Formats: sequence, structure tokens, C-alpha cells
Amino acid sequence: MVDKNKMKVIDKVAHKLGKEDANSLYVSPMPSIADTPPAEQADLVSKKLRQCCVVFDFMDAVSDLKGKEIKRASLNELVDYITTGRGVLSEDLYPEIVQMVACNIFRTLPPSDNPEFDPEEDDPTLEASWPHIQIAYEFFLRFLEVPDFKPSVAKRYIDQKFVLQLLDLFDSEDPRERDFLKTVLHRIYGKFLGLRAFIRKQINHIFLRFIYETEHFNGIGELLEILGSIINGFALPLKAEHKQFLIKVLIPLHKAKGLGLYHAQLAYCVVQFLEKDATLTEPVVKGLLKYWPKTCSQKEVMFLGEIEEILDVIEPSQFQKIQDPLARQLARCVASPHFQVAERALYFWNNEYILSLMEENITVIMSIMFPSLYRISKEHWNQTIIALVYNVLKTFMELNNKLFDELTANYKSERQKEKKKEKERDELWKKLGKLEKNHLNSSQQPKVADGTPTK
Amino acid sequence: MQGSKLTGDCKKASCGRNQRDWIVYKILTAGRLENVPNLHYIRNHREGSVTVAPYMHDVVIDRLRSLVRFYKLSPKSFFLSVSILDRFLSVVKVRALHLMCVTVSSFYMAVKLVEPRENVMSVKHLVRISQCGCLPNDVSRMEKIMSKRINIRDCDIPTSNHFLQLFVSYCHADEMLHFPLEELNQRLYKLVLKLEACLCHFALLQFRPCVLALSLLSHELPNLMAPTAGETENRGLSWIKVIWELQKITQISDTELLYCRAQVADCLRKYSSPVPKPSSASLLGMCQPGLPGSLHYTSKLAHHLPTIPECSSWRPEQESLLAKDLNLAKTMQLVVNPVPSLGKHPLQDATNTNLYCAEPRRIFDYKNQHLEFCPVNSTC
Repeated sequence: MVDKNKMKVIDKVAHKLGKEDANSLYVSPMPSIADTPPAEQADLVSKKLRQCCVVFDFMDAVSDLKGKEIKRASLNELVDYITTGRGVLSEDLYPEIVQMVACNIFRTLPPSDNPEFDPEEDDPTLEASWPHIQIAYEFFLRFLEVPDFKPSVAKRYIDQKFVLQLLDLFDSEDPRERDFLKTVLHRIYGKFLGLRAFIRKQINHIFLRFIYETEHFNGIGELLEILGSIINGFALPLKAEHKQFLIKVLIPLHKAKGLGLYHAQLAYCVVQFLEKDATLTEPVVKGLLKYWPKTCSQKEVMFLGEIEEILDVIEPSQFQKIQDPLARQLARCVASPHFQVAERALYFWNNEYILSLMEENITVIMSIMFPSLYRISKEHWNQTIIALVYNVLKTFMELNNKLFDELTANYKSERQKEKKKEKERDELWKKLGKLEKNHLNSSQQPKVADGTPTK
Repeated sequence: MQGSKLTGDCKKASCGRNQRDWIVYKILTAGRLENVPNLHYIRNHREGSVTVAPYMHDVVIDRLRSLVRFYKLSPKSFFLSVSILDRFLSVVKVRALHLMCVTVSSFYMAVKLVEPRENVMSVKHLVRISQCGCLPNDVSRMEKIMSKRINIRDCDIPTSNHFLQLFVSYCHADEMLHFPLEELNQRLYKLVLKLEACLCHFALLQFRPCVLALSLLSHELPNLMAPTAGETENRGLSWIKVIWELQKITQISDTELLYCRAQVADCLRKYSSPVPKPSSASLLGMCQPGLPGSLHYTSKLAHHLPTIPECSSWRPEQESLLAKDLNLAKTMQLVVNPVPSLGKHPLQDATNTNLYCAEPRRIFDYKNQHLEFCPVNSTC
């Protein structure tokens, strides 16, 4: 109580003195917690928490070095206190802790220094205030993980508004910050059952805004990692809401240009869904085929990797539903002039389980894939691909001799028909050419005689 | 192509009896020239011996088949290379170690003899594709060795394909095959492919080529005969009559023909059966756990956050390690312990030292190591 009044007085003084001196007024050294007798520790902790609410300006590297150091030490002390102390978390401390953390981490993120920031190529702009913010995050995490943490008390302070601000921070360019946020949000989701639906809804909004409006958000990967652990824990049977999420949000997420940044996490989520409920296989695979990249080969390689992981967990009955369109797409990939795409597609034959799936459905699959493979074996420019194609064809031959021979014979007769047509076409053009020459010759003669041009 | 050969034969002589007689004459001359290579030492192969075993011969002929198919060559190349290979094997006791090299050399020689220039591939390309484990120089040296021991240019030694063509032209002269020309050609082509498959069984090599051809024809002739109106009952008898006539011409004994027919029936059953045969060693060699296709990079990357159960709160000490480890174990299991859905090839049971390949090598060796790995791995 007394301290609050004191703070109000200092506030007024600060207003008159100007900000800089006010800061140093606030952050004056206090005794260390370890040296204080236990009876007074709680009080001191409270004071230190309030002291750490003051935010320093790190854009100016030389200002207030002493104040920054004091705050850093205090923060570290607080981390130690909360980690090692037992039964130290009284109910009064909860609001102060949340307030302190909120002051330090919630801020408007600066606009990007580099407007054409390419996450894969460039180094990210790191957060300047990281020395303090890092410890604040660390402290918050320990707070959430304290054994006698009471969500029922904390939920008054860690509410929807808090979560919203937390989610906004995921757009930070600093990967270390996103990493902390990921763990923090994971713990919050885990412990506050009342906030779960809200968090899921907000993540939905972020993803949808990313896909359909901005195509810019730095934290998609981290959010997907959290979702991975959530999906892993879904109870069966899956709720309709979750299935909707998969079809309406996760699948369209494959569309975005920056897929490479978060593809591993996204594929993991998708596969987790399929392991939970196999009947989702058909819509998922059809969705992927719908969004199959047409001009970006790197993305195509990623999609092929994801398809392979899906096939690894697929049930044979589900495979039969999607084998037709999938085989067609695979036939196109195998024949792709981009050697990485063709190679990745041909590596499917390295996978024993996929091979056994093909074996069971060899008639359908071989009939679709054979023409592309057989054509490529002569026409592809890359020798490695040709070697791989030979192995695949040999495998097919061993799996079903008769079908292979029949397809060879069919291919041969088709080619002969095509050649015949080409020849006929050529001859037609030659004939037309001759006709034209004759026509020109005959029409030229009157011109020479009269001197007047004919039509 | 069989089609042109067929019509060519028909054009050579005038129709009817003259044509038939001409074909009979050719069959008889071929019969005088044919021989069965002496491969007893292969048949009597004992465990632990360094020479070729029957199943190795099968594998190698199968490899020839796949090469001919891959390079889109005519069946003549296949039959000639088998002929060269067997003739060489009957003269020289080849060690198992060198069998693959001998095979590739005989293939290359046959291709050079039979195919037009644009179809002949470079030795380097052939060595790379066939994974024979030897260098292009080895192949050239082997060719020289082989051409010293046998007369390569002796294309006149009739193969079973030769006889099959003659028998089919005989049937055609007898006006038994009524399909339109294109379809007939396709069916004949499939017939020749079946004959190729038959050669992959060592047991059938003990028969004379004409016997083999006739046995196969006796199984397949009904398929070649188009149904014409009003002849459905007589069809059954007419093809038997033709087979009997051919048997008389070639002087094949009943027992020999019946015995061969039984073996061929067995062979055709295996050929058409949907039950998969055991995979060859090279396929298993392809499925190495280290290759990118089987790396589950997503489960490795996105897996260090513990699972949050849907209906209860998450506690650090109650972390569902079990679910996490089970998932990881399941995905890794597929990599480390491959699903044994494909049976083992007999080659696997044999000694694991070099058999017919130089060494059990990886299928693809890239000079540029980073090409081996999935490009996505480096960006994730």
C-alpha cells in the first residue's frame, strides 16, 4: 500500500524531471533477495517486480548502462528465486508477475528494416532489447512451470487479452523470441483449459489472414509446432471442428509461397491427423493434388516428400481410393524435366511399404505409370534419372511379367500408330506444298505475258 | 518385326502349297543346324563351387530381358545374346564372379550385330545402367576373349525364336490366323515375349529350340486364331492337326514334346500369376535406410513439444512420453526393419560374398555427394 503511494509520488517527480533521470530514479539498487531474511523476501520480490516494469531503450547502446545492468541482475535474481524457492508463489504475486512480464514483452513490433526480407537467405533482424526480454521470458516460463502453479488463480490475469497480445508477438523476426513464445503458449494451452478454444480460434484467424490476405507472418512454423502437439493429443472420435480445421486451414496453407519455412511442421500436423482418423486420407490427398505446384519445383519436391510420409501411414483400403489420381500425378512428376523432382518421385520405389502397396494394386498403378516411365527411359536428359528409371522398370517387370509385356506391346503399337499419323501429316503438307508451287507457277505465266498483275 | 517378316515370307513364294513347302524346307534346314549348348556343369552345380548355378543363369537371362526391354530393342537381340552367352558357357567354365560381365559383353555384341547404328548404346551407358560391376574396358576385353573362343558372327544357328517364326508362318500359310494384320502383329509380339520369359528357366534349356518353340505354340495357338463364323467346333481340331504336322516335320518324339509342354505350362503359369515373385537382390539393395526417401524429417524436426491431451490439462510430470516415443518408434521402425512383404531371393541365401556382381554396391553412386541428399533437408 505504502509503496503504491510512493510510486505515485515518484511518477509526478519523474514527469517534471524528464524521462531519463526518472528511469535512473526507479532503478536503484535494492538488497539481493538471497541476503534477505525469508520473512521480508516476499515484500522485496514484489518491489523488484515493480522495479522491472521499467523498460529501457536499447536502440541507444550507451544510455543508462547502469540502470540496464541493475535490471538485468534483478531479473536474474527473480528467476533464481522462483526456480529454487518452495511455496514462494503467494496469490498476491500473480498479478505483479503477469504485469511485469506484460510490460517487458508486449510492445509494437518495429517494421522490418529490410522490406524484401527473404527468410531463407537473409539474417533476421534481432531484437535489440533481447538481454532483458530474454530473462523476462525465462522468468515467465519458470513461473508457469512451478509445481504449485495455480491456473485457477492465474486465469484472472492470463486472460484472452493477454493471449491476444502474446499471439501478435509471434510475428517477431527474432527466432529466439519465437522459440520462447512457442514454449510459453504451449504451457498456457496445456494448463488453461478455458482458454483453449479461444487460442485455437485465434490461431485459425492468423493462418487464414496469412493465406488469403497478407502472406506475411513469421511465426507460422512455431504455431504449427504447437498445433502438432495439440493434434497428437486429440481424443477419438475427432470433433467436426478439428476436421474442418484440417480441410479449411491446414490444406490451403500449402498454397503459400513461403511454404519452405514451415513445411516440416505442417507435414507433421497433416500426418498426425491421418494417424488419428484414417478416413481423412481421401480429402487430404485430393486437397494436396488440387494445390499441386505447377511452376515451383522446390515446392514440388516438398509435396512429394509429404506424400511419401502420408503413404507411410496410409491404410491399404484408403490407398485404393486415391491410387488413381495419385498415380497420374506421380507419372507426371517422374517425367518432369527438373531432375530433382523426377529423382524425388523415383525414390518412392525405395520405400518398402509403398512398394508393397503398389504390388497389391499393380494392375492399376502399372497401367498408369508405365507409359511415362517407358518414354522417359529414352528421352530424359539426365543420366542419373535414366538409371533410376531402369531400376523401377525392372521392379515392375519382376512384379508382374505378363502385365508388363502387355503394356510394352500396347506402347509399341501406339507408337507405330503415332508414327504413321505423323508420316501421313508430313505427306499431306508436302502435297500441299507441291500444289502451292504449281499454283504459283501457273499464275505467274499470264503476268509475264500481259505485264499486268493477276490476282 | 514379326509383321514384316510374316508378310515377307508370304510374298517370297506364291500362295498355297508352294508357300507351305518353302517353309517346310526352311524348317528342315534350320533343324540340321540347331544345337543345344552343353551346360551340364551348370546343372550339376554343387554348393560351394565357384562356377555358375542354375538360378544365377536365370537371373542373368532375366537381366538381359530387362535390358532389351529398356533399350527398346527387337527380340532378335535378346535371342542372339542368349545364344552367344550359352555357347560361350558351354565352351568355357565361367566363374560366378565373371558371369555378369560375360552377360553384358554378349548383350553388347548381339546389339552391334543385329541393331541399326542409332540403337547401339555406348559401352559406358550400358555399364552404368546394367550395374554389372565392371568397367567399359573389362567389357571390351571380354568381347575379345569371347570372339576368340566362339564364332560370334554365326547368326545362322537357329534360336527358338527362329523356329517360332517359321511355325507361325506355316500356320499363316495354312490360313489359320484370321486376325487383321495389326492385331495379329501385336499378338505375335506378345507370343515372342512369352518365349523370352520361358528362356529364363534353366530347366527349359535342355530341350532343343524347335521343341521349345513347338511346345509354346501348342499352348498359345488357340489365342492366335480369330473366331470365324461357323467354325467354332472345328477350331479345336484344326490347331491340333497343325501341331501334329509340325511335329512330324521336325521329328520331335511324343514324349519329348509332352514333357516340354508340361514344363512350359508351369512356366506360363508363373508368368501370368498375380502372386508376386520374390524380389531380386538389387531391389533390396535399393531400399537402404540411409536414403532420403525414408528419412522422416518431419518427425525429427517437429517433435520436441510434449503432447497436450485434449480433455485434460497438461502437466510436466505426466508428459505423455509413451505417445511420443510410440509415434517416433513406429515411423523409425519402417526404416530400420523393413516390412517383409517381399520374399527373399535365393541369391540372398547363398554366401554373402561376391556372387555374380563385383561387390554388393549401392545402386547409385554420385560423384557429387550433395546430390544424394534430399534438397529439402538443407532448407528445413
